[in-house]
Amino acid sequence: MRRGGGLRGAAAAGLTALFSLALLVYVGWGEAKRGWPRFVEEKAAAEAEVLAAALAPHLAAGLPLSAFPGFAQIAEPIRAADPAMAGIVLRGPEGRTLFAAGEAGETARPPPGARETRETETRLLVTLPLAGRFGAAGALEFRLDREALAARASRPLPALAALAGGLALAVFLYALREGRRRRLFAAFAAAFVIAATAVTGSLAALYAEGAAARAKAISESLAGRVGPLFAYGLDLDDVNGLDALLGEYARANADVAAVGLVVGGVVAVHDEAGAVGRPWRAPPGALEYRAPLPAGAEIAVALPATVVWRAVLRSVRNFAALLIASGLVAATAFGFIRRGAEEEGGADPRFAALRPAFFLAVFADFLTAGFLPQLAERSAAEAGASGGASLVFSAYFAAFLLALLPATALSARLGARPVTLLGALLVALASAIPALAPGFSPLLGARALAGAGQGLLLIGVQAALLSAPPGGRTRAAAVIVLGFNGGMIAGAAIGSLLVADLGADGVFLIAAAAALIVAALARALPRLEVGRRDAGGGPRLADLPRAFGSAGFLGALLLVGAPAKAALTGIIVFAAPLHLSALGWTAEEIGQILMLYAVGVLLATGPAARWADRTGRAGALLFLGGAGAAVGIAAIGAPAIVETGSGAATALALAGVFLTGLAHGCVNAPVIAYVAESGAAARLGAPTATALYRIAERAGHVAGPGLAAAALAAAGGGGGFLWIAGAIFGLTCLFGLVAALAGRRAGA
Amino acid sequence: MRAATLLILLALAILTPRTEASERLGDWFRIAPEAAALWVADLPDPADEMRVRLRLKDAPEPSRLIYVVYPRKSSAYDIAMTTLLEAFAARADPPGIIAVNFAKDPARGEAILREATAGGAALGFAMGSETVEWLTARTAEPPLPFVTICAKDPVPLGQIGGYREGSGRNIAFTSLNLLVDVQVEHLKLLKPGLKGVAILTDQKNVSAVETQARPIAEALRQIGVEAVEVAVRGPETARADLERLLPAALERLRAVDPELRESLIWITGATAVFAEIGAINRLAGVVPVLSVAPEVVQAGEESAALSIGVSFESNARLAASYAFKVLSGEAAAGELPVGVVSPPDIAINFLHARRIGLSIPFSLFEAASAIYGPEGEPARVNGRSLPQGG
Repeated sequence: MRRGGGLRGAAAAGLTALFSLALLVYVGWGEAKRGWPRFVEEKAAAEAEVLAAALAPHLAAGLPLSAFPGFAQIAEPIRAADPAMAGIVLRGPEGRTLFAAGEAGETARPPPGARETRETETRLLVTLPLAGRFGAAGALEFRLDREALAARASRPLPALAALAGGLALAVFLYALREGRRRRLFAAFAAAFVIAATAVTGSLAALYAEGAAARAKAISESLAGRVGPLFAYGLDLDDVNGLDALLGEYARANADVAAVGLVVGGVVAVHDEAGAVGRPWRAPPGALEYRAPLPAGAEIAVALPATVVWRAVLRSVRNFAALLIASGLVAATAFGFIRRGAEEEGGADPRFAALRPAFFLAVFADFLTAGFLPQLAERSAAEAGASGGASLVFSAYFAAFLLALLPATALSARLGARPVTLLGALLVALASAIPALAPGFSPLLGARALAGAGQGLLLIGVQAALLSAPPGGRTRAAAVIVLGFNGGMIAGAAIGSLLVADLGADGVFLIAAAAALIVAALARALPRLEVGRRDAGGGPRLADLPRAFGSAGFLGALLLVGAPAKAALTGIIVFAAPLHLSALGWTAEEIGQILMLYAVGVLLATGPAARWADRTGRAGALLFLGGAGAAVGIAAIGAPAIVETGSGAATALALAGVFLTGLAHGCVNAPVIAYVAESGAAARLGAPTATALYRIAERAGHVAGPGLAAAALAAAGGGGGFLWIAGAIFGLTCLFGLVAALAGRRAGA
Repeated sequence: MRAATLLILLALAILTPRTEASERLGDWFRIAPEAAALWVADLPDPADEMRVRLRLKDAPEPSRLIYVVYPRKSSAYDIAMTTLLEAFAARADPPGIIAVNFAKDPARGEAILREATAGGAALGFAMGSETVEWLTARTAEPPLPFVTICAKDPVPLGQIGGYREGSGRNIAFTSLNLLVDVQVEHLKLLKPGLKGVAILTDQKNVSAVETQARPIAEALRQIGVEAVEVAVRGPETARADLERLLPAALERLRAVDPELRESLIWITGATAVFAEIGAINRLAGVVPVLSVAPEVVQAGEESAALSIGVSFESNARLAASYAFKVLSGEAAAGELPVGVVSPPDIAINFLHARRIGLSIPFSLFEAASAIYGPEGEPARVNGRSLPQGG
């Protein structure tokens, strides 16, 4: 048995691990930079309540804020305690600075209504409007230094980066002496889990610090309100309703686990009546803070640790998505490594680059999937072309379709390499354009260019695979299916995680870089003298009318295949992200949901193809796939029109996307088997019929976004999904009927 | 020599119309030192002491002019004017102000209106009920928008149809009275099981009877609370009347509340009554004594337990906020509903409250602008806590 993967393979393994772990640390760091300000914002809001409590009697007396004495004495200790707090400002009703501790900033009219948080280039501003007896009295403005916030969030970064580097080095060293892919993959996974645990731990520590500060601020806010009672020499019997006040605090701060007024070590008032008369006890694991009051009393507040874990959970979910995406990248890279190793054993090296090339091509395409529909909609609206977002997707698929035949002819004449190279360069250019030239028209043109480039890439990769030695065609299907779905999963996950930090432009540029790597890989492809015959013997569109003469061909195409493609581009790629975004889902969540679709396709494709081959009942699978897709699509849209809780809505959307993926997995391969058994195959030959079918079904790709946009515009978000689901179900039933009649006729 | 110097200084003080640190000009205009420290006051015409000009110190030339029309001298108007000046001083573009006393002379009033119009005044304040009465009785619309200040409730006085709509004229009304339902709401907050209220008033003080005693009595009866009106016959007989009438009223309340634990005594804004707070407390026993007049709650034992009402300052701040709306173009004067102070001014005396075992809702404690501690000492004044509760 050969040991070790060779220096080149080990380097590739180490680099893959370094890329994945660096990405993990980067995403974790991004999470910290986004999550930490939320904790600080909540803390600042609670501190604003502390100050507001001090101002309340003054405002209750109807006095103007400009006459408030001693603002600096109260605000300065709060400001000084937090290095990120650049200033605390008391503004008048017109936004003028009345008093300031630290930086005052410019005049800013207080927001109407509730608390507001906004960001400037350098500051995070938390503003609490103050109401007087005769309307708006002014506002408290907490000015947080974003650079200082980022610095605090970045504190664990060097250590985590060093850990990632160390782990990547360990993977490299391990790969030097272990060439078996499964063991290498296990080592990679172990390194990822170790790094993810470290990143999660540092996030938890950071958030715990934020939560503890918030507990302190909440308790001090309450102490500010109750304190005067004791300061005036009064006692608890002099007033009533303190229990209601504490209950109101617990309700208003949903994260508060317990809040109590403790006198002489015993709970005198508590948000839960049962705790009164006993020693104060915070729930196990809670973050607790006590604010002293005059006369030995205390306000005690406990925040459950779940506040921290809930915030961390989001990161854990992202890391899980990243693990899957990185795993796919690693699997592709390790496959490349193995083939690279095989090179030493004498296998044909020219095909080693095929899988990573196609994987990366799709990866580049799907990097933008989590946010492209929203970006297209925004750009279209800004350009005065409201409703034009679907054009961006239709243009892509139309260009894809139109590129297929010229690409086929080109690959027959020049070979796979130049076609793939040209496709990759077009995709790179198309990815760079939106980053370099913002606007709807450049986006529309870029997507059309990307579609043409992907069409060329597909034909180039297919042509290269067809020129492979015996057994290569089997691998071709695997490369196409796994490459497409793997690339889709990894691209959607990674792109949607990066967009929060890098912005859309940054992700577009990464996609361009990935396409350039594809171009570099394409240079390793064979020149394909052997492939000319296959490529040149491709389908002729002139044969299409004869194919359409077959009910089986036409039924499979119009009732199941093309609708499935239309559902992919119209629903999964276009409408679902828009719909989910409108429901408040973030780009990263949408990207992760899209991953589920590809996972569903991957899970179903193999078993469905095997079952169809074994039983010969491809038609039944197509019916199942059509019906399943209808149910899945209905589930995605249902929460918008049926009253559900947010948890149920999430579950329905997840289940809907996953089910649609599973359903399409039941269609993709069996529909080819079905067409191969159709009358068209009898007339034209199975290869020509299936090739014609593959081209014709792409009309569904092109029509999907436009049809989905029309349905959504006509029936609203949720209603549009139900209409589309109903239409797909109707077509599927019709297909079932046609197939049953055809079967009966054949039986007779 | 010293006497001569003093005489010269006195002569200068009398002859110099511009008096920057002045608190008082003429015999009718007075403002508190806080406002005097912010504003420069002078007599634009040294021969006319009924007209005072004010401009914010160290401020650029004001771009707008406002008239404040007084009917006469009053300490309540001094408080209102002081508050107005403080409110305008806090604004970005403080106006110039002319305070003028029309001495309840309609002809002089008309001349003032002409002068204000000719001078380009942007707004006028009608100070006190008498000015408002004159202004609303005129057949013609005021030539500039007016806001009423320190004046009685215009609704019972028939100056406007209701509280919710604007006057439709060039006048925005405010009220010195607290809405009856707000009073009842606070009484129910204090005593959720309220069964009886003795309402003390002076039958000679018609406005107190018409705008305070009767409306709250009717409102209480509508929610099933026994309301007994106790009306003294004037300041001279007030104590004797109370000695006679209050025990009888409490006896009537015992019919619905035998222990008097769910009953209250409510003092209207009749001076003849609240001057007898000591006697009222003695006669009330454990029944909490409350008042609509903030000044009835004060330091020491001679105090009501709680007051829920409207101070002159609060009304003036509300009037100022109405003026800001009119000046900024946010609303026309005739579009503004009657300005009613809410939440009310609350004052609490815990010495009294403790003596009768009255527990105060914490929300009232927080909202109170004046609090007297367990020894009756001032603990919070004008919303400001005093050091160590004293």
